[in-house]
Parts: sequence; structure tokens; C-alpha cells
Amino acid sequence: METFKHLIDTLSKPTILVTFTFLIFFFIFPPTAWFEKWHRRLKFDGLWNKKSLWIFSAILIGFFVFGLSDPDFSAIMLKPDNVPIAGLIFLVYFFTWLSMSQAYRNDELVEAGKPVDEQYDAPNDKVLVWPDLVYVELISIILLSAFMLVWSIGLPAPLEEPANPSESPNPAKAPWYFLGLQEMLVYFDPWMAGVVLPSLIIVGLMAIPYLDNNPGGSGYYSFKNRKLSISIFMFGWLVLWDLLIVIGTVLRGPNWNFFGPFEYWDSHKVEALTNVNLSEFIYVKWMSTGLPGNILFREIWGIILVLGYFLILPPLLAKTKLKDIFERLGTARYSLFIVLILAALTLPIKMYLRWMFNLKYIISIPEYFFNF
Amino acid sequence: MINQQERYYNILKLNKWFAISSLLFAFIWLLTFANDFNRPWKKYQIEFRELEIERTRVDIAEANSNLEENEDFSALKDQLETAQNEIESRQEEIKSIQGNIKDLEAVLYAKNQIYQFAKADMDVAKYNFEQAQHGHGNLKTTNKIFENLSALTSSSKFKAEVIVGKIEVANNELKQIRQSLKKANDAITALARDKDLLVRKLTKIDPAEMSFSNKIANIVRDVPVLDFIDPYYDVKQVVIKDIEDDMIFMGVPKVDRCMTCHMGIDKKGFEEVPQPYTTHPNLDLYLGSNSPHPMNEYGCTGCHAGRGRGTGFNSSSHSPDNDEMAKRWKEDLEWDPLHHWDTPMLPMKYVEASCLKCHAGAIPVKESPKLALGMSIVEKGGCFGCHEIEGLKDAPKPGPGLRKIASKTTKDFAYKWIYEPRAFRENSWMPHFFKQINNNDPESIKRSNQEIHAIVSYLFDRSEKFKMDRLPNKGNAEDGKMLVNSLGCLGCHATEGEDLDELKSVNSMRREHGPNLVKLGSKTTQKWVYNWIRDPQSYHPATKMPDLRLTKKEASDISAYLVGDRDHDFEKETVPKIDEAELNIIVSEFLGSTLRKDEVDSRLAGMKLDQKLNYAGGKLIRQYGCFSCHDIDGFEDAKPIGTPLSTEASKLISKLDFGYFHDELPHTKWDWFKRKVDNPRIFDMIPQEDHSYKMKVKGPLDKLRMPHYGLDDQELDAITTVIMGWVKDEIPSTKLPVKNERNIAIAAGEKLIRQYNCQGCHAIDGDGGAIKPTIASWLGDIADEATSEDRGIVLSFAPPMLDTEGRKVQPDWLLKFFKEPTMIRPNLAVRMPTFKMMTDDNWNTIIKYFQLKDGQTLPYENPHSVNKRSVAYKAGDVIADMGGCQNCHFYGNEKPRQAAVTWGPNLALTKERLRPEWLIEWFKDPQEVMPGTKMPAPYIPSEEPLESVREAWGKDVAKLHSDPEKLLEAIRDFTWAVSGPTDVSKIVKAHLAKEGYGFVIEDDDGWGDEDW
Repeated sequence: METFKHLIDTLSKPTILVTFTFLIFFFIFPPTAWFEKWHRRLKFDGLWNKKSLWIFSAILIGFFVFGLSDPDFSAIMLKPDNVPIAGLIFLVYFFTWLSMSQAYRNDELVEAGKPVDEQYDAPNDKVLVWPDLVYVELISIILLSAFMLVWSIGLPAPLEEPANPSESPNPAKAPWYFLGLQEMLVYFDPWMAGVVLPSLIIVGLMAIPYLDNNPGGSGYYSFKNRKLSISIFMFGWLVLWDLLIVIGTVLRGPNWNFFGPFEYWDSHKVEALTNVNLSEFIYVKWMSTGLPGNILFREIWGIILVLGYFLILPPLLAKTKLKDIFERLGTARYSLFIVLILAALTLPIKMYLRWMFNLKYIISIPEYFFNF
Repeated sequence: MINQQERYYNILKLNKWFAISSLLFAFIWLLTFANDFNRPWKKYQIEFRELEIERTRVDIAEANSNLEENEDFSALKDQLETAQNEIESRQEEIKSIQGNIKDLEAVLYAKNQIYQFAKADMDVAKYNFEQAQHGHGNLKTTNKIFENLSALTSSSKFKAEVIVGKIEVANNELKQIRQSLKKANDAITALARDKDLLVRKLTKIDPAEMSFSNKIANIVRDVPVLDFIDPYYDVKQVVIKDIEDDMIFMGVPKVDRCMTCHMGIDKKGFEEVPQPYTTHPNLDLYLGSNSPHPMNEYGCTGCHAGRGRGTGFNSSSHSPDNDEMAKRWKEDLEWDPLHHWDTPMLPMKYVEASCLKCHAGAIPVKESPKLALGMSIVEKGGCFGCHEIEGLKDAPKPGPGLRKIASKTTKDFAYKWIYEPRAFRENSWMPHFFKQINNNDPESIKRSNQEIHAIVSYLFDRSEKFKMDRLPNKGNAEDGKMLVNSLGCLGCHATEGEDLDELKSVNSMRREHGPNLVKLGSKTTQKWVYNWIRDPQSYHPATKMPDLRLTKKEASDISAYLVGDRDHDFEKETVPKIDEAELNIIVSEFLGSTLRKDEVDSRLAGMKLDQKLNYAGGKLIRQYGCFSCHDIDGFEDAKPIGTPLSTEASKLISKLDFGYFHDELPHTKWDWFKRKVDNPRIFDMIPQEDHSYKMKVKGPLDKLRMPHYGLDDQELDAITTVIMGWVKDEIPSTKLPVKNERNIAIAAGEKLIRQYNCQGCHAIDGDGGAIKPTIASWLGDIADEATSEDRGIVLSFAPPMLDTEGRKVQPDWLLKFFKEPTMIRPNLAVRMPTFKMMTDDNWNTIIKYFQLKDGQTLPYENPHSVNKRSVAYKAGDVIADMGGCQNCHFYGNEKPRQAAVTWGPNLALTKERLRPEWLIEWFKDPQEVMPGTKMPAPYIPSEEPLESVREAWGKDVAKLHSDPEKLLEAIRDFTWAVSGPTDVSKIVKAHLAKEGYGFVIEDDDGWGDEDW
């Protein structure tokens, strides 16, 4: 048992967990034909049938039941604050499964030339409201209210001692829905993680209808026609948002250190935190000289790198790998698209740079409060 | 096309779903109410109600039987019956009067109505008349109408008043008839008031005693949902506006709901009932409305701490006294420590901590013995030396001064002593720095050896010269022993090893004021002891050791006795050699804290061994804080090395480092403090499965360095109590002890009295006199056991109790006495020492303490004078003569008639020493003033017939005979006028040398003839 717990703790280490997720993600949600080939060859498509729902649900439930026998695991999971996150894990899995399995089924129906499940050809877009819609809504309201009452009785509000500025809670956590943002703060300057990237997320969401004008598969669940879009969305939603929330809730303990789900939250745990900037890498480590006094001179490498990433890489990709996309979207939409994608990718890139090289910032100009 | 009948869902099925979910919701909705209704405290209130009903019934029964037995009550009952019978017989008369009154009242009603109408009309007429005068209306007619109506009003008013008068007369008649009945009734009610109150109470709480409608109401008021209006079972609380709970950003008034479950806490009669209903054990001091801490003004959590707003066992943050209690609570009450509350309830064994919040100035020893003991330990152990503690900042250092140490002892002794003080003297207050849990591995011991060498070397190299007189002779140890036992040394020192079973108290601590005197021969020389006791201040100017005015002979005898006790095993132990290599490591470590490695090396190379020792010694004295307790050259301005403790208990628990003892130790502040004091280095350790320890990775200078005092459990609890009392709570002045002149003077006096251990010898208000048992055993040595058990004799040889000192003596005399003590009780062997270190201001503080404690607020003037020709004086002379005052008292240099064992003060001292008013108090009842005194109340013949008084006592006494007060004044005047030399010490000395004390020895019929 202990070995198993230890194994889980080890697998939960962010480097392993995130790397593992990255490695298999695009085989589960293949964005291209090549991935799809492997997707089928590796039998990942089997994930979306009923049998795997049962198996995975059973594994998940079994894991939780087993985990709750562990004092450290249950201390985290049964904290009234965290119960919704445990629920979130189940719900996200279930609804991902539901949508994907329907998408697969519809794809098959389309292939066979049959109408899809959601096919609905009512005249004048007529929809049955009474009693069908309203009645079901009413029942849902009643059941949900009952559920909320039971919840509020069963898990009383997690009141703590009076707030004290000299005794901030450790770990101090954002509300669960912001934990993804809080996780970003580990890798980015607050200005980036707190303002620029969240703004880009909103801009990106607003831009979706303009970027994705593919009419195929519209109005019903489908995967085949929108592999790339779904794959990108799922990456942003599942990996860059939900996974970070789960990590923030379950795996971040005192002093924002990482803890496995079966690990005791020892507030005295020490982690080495000596991070260096790119300029220090180049001048101090590789060239063995001091940092130049001139800011521009000092940060020129980082600036070149970032500019190259955002200005050189897009046209390069447009000419090579993403030729079809560029041709399909046209220059303006392609530019927007690629900048958003690249911005989103800075997060995993910086995570890896941090873990592998203790890299703090690529451009670091604290004199003007600019760090990237 | 959609079929009109087409549905997405089967409606019938949805109906079923709707039904099921509605029922489910209704059920859960009820569950919500049930959950709200079902409060944990209700069952306690229901149970207590039963108890209270039972209790009230018992009380009523008792009251009834008391009334039965009361003769007045039965007499009154008879009276009542007679009165009732009388009224019965006059029933006809009463009826006719009542009828009359009824008729009259009807008439009155009618007359009143006429008057009311007339008055209303008159008011209108008045208005009209005024309007007419203003030019609107006919002046003449309006005036006429107004005047008519005025007349009508007053006449109808008069008619009504006549009827009122008649009714009054009739009522008086009735009253007259019923008077005797009312009188008897009132008397019975007054007598049975307590019982009636009980009965009334019972009808309120006992459904069986309620009327039918009240029974219904009793049920309805506690029905779920309706119980918001006026329930019987309710959260009870007190709100204390001026004591605030600190909510960090604001203070909120304290709200204590403890009495919601502890319902009997302020009610007498539930002392034997189990918790939570038990009556508070000390209602006279706490909670009672007449106590100094009434519940409505102080609440509960002000003293007990905890979450006053909590209404559950856990949510109010109860804390168990020990593991066993915690286990029982867990089983019976599902107890779990409340994690999110900074001030959990104090376990009962530490509850006295809260007294310190308000009573830090003068700790009430009787009411908080544990706290007082803890405070003595803090002072004795010198906690305040390393830790800044409010109120103890200017306290003198508790250890001996070390500036002249070379004259006192040897380097070897100093080495062995520092290494393990309790190996030499098991109850020493010098704590252990070495051989502790974090430095007793071979590596550390090797280092410790050199550290001690360095410290010793520092101290001895800087030691100043102490000019010592030669010993006059070898001294007689036997005589010395008698002197130590009799002179009063034992008020502050112990000579025997400590009895470890003995429970410590503030009083037992007083005998640890000075060091234990065992094994002095192994520590120092006779010559040093001789010089030290002759003049302690010449060795250590800041010493608290007073001067006993010893003669050369006495001093040499005592020193001979004290150094006669040696510990040969200890002396034989060898001291490890100085190891320069190890010393180099130590020195480089200290140097390395400010210098680079190459600088350290060159510095080290240039140092001789002596220099290294001295350098390291100085650094180590600073590191370990030796200067906190000892006066050491070079550390005059050194700052305390420990954590300030003034508000230690208000520290958040997260600021206490439990290290690797999170699971070993309950997560409470008091458990941490207790463990820390018990084993100060423990948090450097990592506990192992097999109860051994491993050390954290720490450099020698980073290790915990608080020393180990070897305290027992009782002492640890006491000191933990004190630490838990060091909080930063803001107490409003309304809740503090009144800061008047008296209380301030008492606090200031008590501070000095504690500092100089006056109560080691003197008892004040029933506390102190720690020396008494040693006086008794000395008496046993010089007389016999019976003498040592005779309380009167022991007290007569013990230092005086000072209960009424402020009323008793004249301040001028007292100051003179303090500065130069003289003989008062001639047979006393104990000596009042001379405290040369006390300034006049200090003495005045003490004199003021005595005076204000006894309510003497005015400066003393001595107006009393005696006329030797007065009747009073002559009468006093006779009474004194008849009473045999001279049997025990010196009259000037006239010796008392009886043996020295009974001797009392020289009466020639009276005039300059005592206060005239106090003498009267004293003569009236000496036992009241000084319990246990041998002084009998002088016999005065105030009860005898005048004739026999005149015959036996003479005419002067007879003149005053009727007034006992006058007779006592006569004695006072006589003693006041006794003249002659006040200093009889030479006569006494000669007498004692020749005849001894004259104890009555049981086996030996004659007077004792002790050899000194």
C-alpha cells in the first residue's frame, strides 16, 4: 500500500505529471491525421465507449475510496473548500466522455450517411417548451435545491479563526476557479500572469468565432470535422486550466511547495529555490563575466529570443508546418491565431524552463518593472 | 411536421419524477428544521431543569419544615385564624358597607360626568371669550356664558369630591375591620418569603405545578419553528461591554455563553452535581453577585479563556488537564481540539494564569498559590535575566557576583560546578548548560570540556582582589552549628538536602532564597566564609545577603561549622586537560563570524593559549548568557539573550517551533512551554521509534542553549501557569484592582519584601514565617521535643508576625529599628539582620506598606502623654502589679521575675515604640492580634462587684471599674510611663550565660541549665 501511495506521490510530481499529460494528450485528442492514425493504433478511441466509462469511473472512485483511508489524502480532499474540486474531477471526466462519445457516434452516423442524433428538422425552429422544457427545469431546480440543503447541513461552512495580518494562512490559496492563474504566478511576473495572460484568454475566447469559421460539424457533437479546433480547445481547457486547478488545490501545500496527494503537508519542507535569469545564464555561466551595466545590452539576448518567438516564428511556420492553416485563414486571422497559440504555449515552455534550468525570467528588467 | 402529441419526454414519467423529487425536497426541508432545532446544549438544559425542580422541591420541603419548627410562625397562624373568625362574625357589617360603597361609586360616576361636560363647555366658552377680547364676537354675551359655566364647573366638581370623601370613609371602615387579618398575613408573608419565592420558582419551572394554560404554553413555547418567540430552552449569555475579544482589526465585546450548559455555575446547591451543572467552587470570589468578580461583569472566558460564543463542547474549545482526561472526553463527548481558535480554554491546572492579567502588581498568594509559586521560580531561577519580562526588568541578578571569584574558590571547583551543578548540590538553582540532550555525544563533550575551561579562565583571569581579614581562631564547629540554627540563617538558607517528596510552595521557596549551605568545605575556604558572613557587601556589593552583626567569635564558629561539610568524592574527580586543538576550533568559529578564513588563521596564529582561553571564554559567556544571573566583569551593559516573554502566551501557536515533536506533543502552547522548560534543548532533537533521539543537523553555535533547571512536575506546572499568564490582553481600568494609594503602596512594599525575603522569617497576614520549623527543631536540640512542639514557645522564639505592624508601631521608631535593629524580646536568639543595601527610601516604602495595609493614612503624631498622678496611671500600676506584668517583662533594667523562656519586651520601650491605640487593641485580646502569642490578656476586674474591687484593687481601679476600656487605658498609661534604660542586652547576655533559658524539661524536674 505504502509503495502504491509512494508511486502516486512520485507520479504527481509536476514534471512527471505535466510531461505525461503533454505526451499523451495529442494522442487522445489528435489534431492532425498523423496523430489520429496513432490515436486509433494505440486504441485511444476506445476511451469514449461505455465500457471505458465504467472502467475509468470505477478506477476513479476506487482511487478516492482508497485514498480517503489515508489521513493526509482525506485531510486535503475532505476540506469543505476542496470537496467541489473532487466533484470537478468526476464531472469534467464525465462530460468530456459524454461529448466525445456522442461526437464519435455522430461521426459514424455521418459516415454511414444517416442523420446525427441531434438532427432536428422542426419547422420555423419550433421547440417544445411546455411542459417538456419547463417541467424538466423545475424538477432539476427541486433536486438541486435538495442537494444544496444536504450539502450545507453535511459540510458546515469552513469557518476559521479571525483573520490576522501577521498570520496569513499557509498555503494562501485563491478561490478554486482562480487557482490556474495562481499557478501561473509561479512561472511569470505578476504583471504577466495576473493581467496580460488573463486578458489574452478573454481576447482568445472572443476571437474564436472569427478564427474558427469551419461550418462542418456545426450544431451537433462531432470530432472528425474539427479535430484541430477541439484539440486546441481541449488543451487549453483540460491542461492549462483544469489540470492547474487540480494541481493548485491538491498538490500545492504550505509555502506553495509541491506535495503528493498522500504526503503530509509539512510546513517546514524545504525546496531549493535559486532561480536565475537568462542574462545571468549567458553572461555569468557561459561567458564567465559580470552582467553588463547597460540594461539593453544586458537583456538583448532575451529580447531577441522573445521577438524571434513572436515575430520570426509565425512567418516561418506559415511557410512550413502550418502552410494549410495559413492559406485557409489568410494573413490577418493567421497572425491573430498564431500569436494566441504562441502566447498560450509560453506557459508550458516556461514551466519546463523553470524545472529544467531554474530559469526565472527570459527578459528581466526589474528597473522598469518588466519581466517576461 | 411535428405531431401535436409529440413529446421529448414521457410526461407520465416526468410526473413521477416530479413527485419523487418534491417528496425528497420536503423531507430534506424538514431535515433542515430538525437540524436547526436539534442543538447540542438543549439536552443539558432539559436535564438541568429536572435537577433544578428536584433541588427546589427539596428546598421547599426544608423551608416548610423550618417554618413548622418556627414558634413565631405557629403563633402567627393562630393569630390569622382568630382574625379570620372575627371577620366571619362581622360579615353582615362588611356586606352593608360594601353595598354602600357600590352605590356611592355609581353616584360618583354620574357626578363626574356632569363635571366633565361642564368643564368641556367652559373651555369652549373661555376660547370664545378670548376671541371676543381679540375683536371677534360679542364681548358681553361670551363673558356671561363663560362665567356661568365656570360656576357650574366648580360646583359640579365639588359635588363629586363630596362623594369621594364618603367612599374614603367607608373604605377606611372596611380597612379597620380587616386590619388584624392584614397584619397577621403580612407577618406570615414576611416569614415565609423565602419559601414563597421557591414555590413561585417551582411553578415557573415544574410543569406539574403549572396551571393548565401554562402547561400548554410550556409545551408550545419550545415547539420547533415557534421557539423563536420566547423559548424556555434558550442560549443564555452575558455580554461584557468593556472587556473585548481581540478580533485583530477590531475589538468586540466579550460574549460568554458558557452558562447555556453550565447552568448551575452561579447557583448554590449544585456543588455535588456532576458537570456541566456543578456550582463554581468559589462563589465568594467569582461569579457571585457580591464577589469581586461578578458573572455579569467578568464573564467566564476572561479567566478561563476559550471561545465564549461557542455553545457546543468542541466549539467552546475545552482543554483537558491531561491525556487521560482527553481520552475520556474523546470517548464520552467526541472531543476534538478546536483548531481554528487562538485562545483555547486553559486547562484547569493552568487557570490561575489569568489572575496575572490584572494582579501582576501584587499576586494574591492564597487565591493563586500555583501562580505565586511559579512567580517565585521565575524570580529564583532568574528567567528574567535572559528573557525580558515586564515588571521584572530591574530585578536584581539572582546568582552570586563573580568579580572576585578567585578568592572564593578554585578553578577546579568552578570547572566541575559549571559542568554539572546538581552533581555537587542536588537542588541548586544554577542550571545545567552541559551534558544536555543536544550536547552529550562524545564530540560535543570534548568541546564542552574546552568551553568550560575557557569560561573559567575568563572569570579567574579577571578576578579582582578580595581583601580578607585573618581568622581570629579555628572556631568551634559545634557552637557554629547552634548559631546557624538559631540566628536566622535558616530563614533564607537550607542546610539539609532537599526532601524531594515535599510539595513546593511559595513559603518553601523562601528557604531557597540563598544557596543551600551543604558541602561548603569542598567549595571554599573557612577564611572566605568568615569574611563573607562578617560583611557580605564587601565581597559583592549587590548581594541580597544582609549583615547579622556577627562577632569575630560567632563568625569563626559559623565558618568552621559550614566548611566542615565536604564532598570528598566530588573533590577527587579530575578535570580534563586543556586541549588546544579543540580550543582552536572554538576560537576560529567565533572569529569566523566576522572575519574571513585567512584573517582567522593569522589571528589565531598570533594568540597565546591564555589569550585564546580568555577570548573564547568571553564569547561563550555571552553565548550562554552567564551574565544574565551573575555580575561579571565586561558584561555590564550586555543585553538579554533570550526571547522576550512579556506577552509570550499571546504569541500565535504557529510561532512556537514544535520541530519534530508535532505528533509527540499535544499541539497547545502550554504543552510546548512545559516541555521547553522541562527539557529546553528537546526541540533540537528528532524522536525515534524506540524513544531515543537523533540530533538535527546544527552547528555548535546554532544549537538551542537554554539551560536545564531540573524542575519537577509541580514546579513545571507552576512555571507554565506563569508563562500562560503573560498575555497582551488589554484590561479596562474598570476591571483592574483599584489603583489607590493603598494598593500602590502595598504592591511596592510587597516587591521589596519579596526581594529581601522578609517572609522567610516573618509571617504577614498568614503567609510566610518559613523559618518556624527550623526554630522548632533548634528548640528540640537545646531543650526537648515537648518544647519544640509547644506552639506558644516556638512562636515566642520565632521572628515576630507582622500582621498589625502598621497599627502597632511608631514609624519613627520602625525606621530607626530597621537601620539599627535593637533587642525587643530579650530571649530571642533570632536576629533581625541589618540590611545595609536598603536606602531610606526603601525603608519608607516598607513602612508605608505596613501603615496603609492597616489603614493608617495619616502621618503619625505622638500626642500621648501620661500624668503619673492621674487616676488612670495609678490604677494601671495596680493592675500591672496584680497581673504580674513584671513576671515576664523588663521594667527598664529591672529583670523579670520568671525564667528567660517566658521573657517579653522591655516595657520601657513602649513609649517610643508602640502606638497607644494599638495597645488597647492588644490588651483586649492578644490572641486576636497575634494568634499563638504567650501574652495573656491582662485581667481587669470590670465584672467584679464594686465593693470587692475597692477592697482588693484599691480606690483608683474602683473609680474606673465600670468601664473596661478605661481600665485597659490605665494599663496602657502605666506601661507608657515605665522608664529606664531600653537596651538591656548586656543584662540578658549575662543572665543567659549564667542561667540559660530555663526550659521546663519533662524528664528533669528542675529548670533547664543549658550551657549557653
